[in-house]
Amino acid sequence: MAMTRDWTPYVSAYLDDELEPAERTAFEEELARNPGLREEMEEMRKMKSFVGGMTLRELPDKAWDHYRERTYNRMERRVGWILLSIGAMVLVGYGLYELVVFLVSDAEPAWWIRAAIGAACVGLAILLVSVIRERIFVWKRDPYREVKR
Amino acid sequence: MLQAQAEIETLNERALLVRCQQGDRTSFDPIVLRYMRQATAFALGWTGNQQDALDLSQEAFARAYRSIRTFDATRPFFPWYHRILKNLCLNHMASAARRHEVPLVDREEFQHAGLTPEQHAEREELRRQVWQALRRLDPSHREILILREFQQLTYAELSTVLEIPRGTVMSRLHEARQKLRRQLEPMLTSQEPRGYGDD
Repeated sequence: MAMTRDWTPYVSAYLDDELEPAERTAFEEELARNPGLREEMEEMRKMKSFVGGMTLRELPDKAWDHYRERTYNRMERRVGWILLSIGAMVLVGYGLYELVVFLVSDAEPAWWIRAAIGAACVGLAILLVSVIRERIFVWKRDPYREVKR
Repeated sequence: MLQAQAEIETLNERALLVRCQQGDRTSFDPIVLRYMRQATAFALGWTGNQQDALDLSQEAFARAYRSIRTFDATRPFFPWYHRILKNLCLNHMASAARRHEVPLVDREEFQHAGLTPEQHAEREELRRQVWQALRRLDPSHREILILREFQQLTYAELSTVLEIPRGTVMSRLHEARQKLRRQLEPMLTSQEPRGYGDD
């Protein structure tokens, strides 16, 4: 049994003037004998002319003035953030080590140190719970999560 | 003639990218200048916000440069860059809702058609509805419509940028338009938009 060709995708290509000459001829012959295809084409022509009158808003000229410089600033900033993060992690790690050493020693911490430790622990717990809750919320509602990246 | 010019540009681009891979940052300048408008327009089609579009396209260039050594310089740059930008746009869309505007305007030939303020308001409403309909499409359909309808890429260019065969370009674009048409059905049946002619 001969396979029937699906001409539907050719409708858009025909309207966009993107068919090869041979394809165009074959499509026009099919169009002449296929009322369903003609109807599809009229619907599509209408839709295309509707949307075809619109375009994306142009950005003002001044938006491009320092585009390149801002792009390079981003590259440099990234290096800055990496170095800052490494330095901060080392310092925080050292601070935590000193804190643990201090706590395991017999010295009684001052009240303000105990208060600061308590506040940091509670704050960290709140942030952790909040971030996890937000991630779950966003993940459940993300319409693009199935999209191949 | 145009094809020859395009080939020269491709060769130049390849040479520039090889120099970038060797650590010459200034060679990245012409690449940024060449694609910044196209890239920002694409991001605007996703975000609807000009500042976000600028930020995302710049960030994509910065990431592209950082990963330039992994890029295969025998292949065209833009499809590779486009994939980075698209992923950034998708991540941006998935994060908390941000303020966005309707980034659609009438084409220049329709802007000074002597419309009354009421007709201008009506057109504004039509643009808003088209934008909302576009936002409801799935990403692959939305992407191809942005590139074709608003950036006027040819099918050959779509095939290169999206890295899909021409036949898939034809079918995906047509499906996208069918879905957009279904979204706009009430408007298309109730009124003929004034001033929009066949192109």
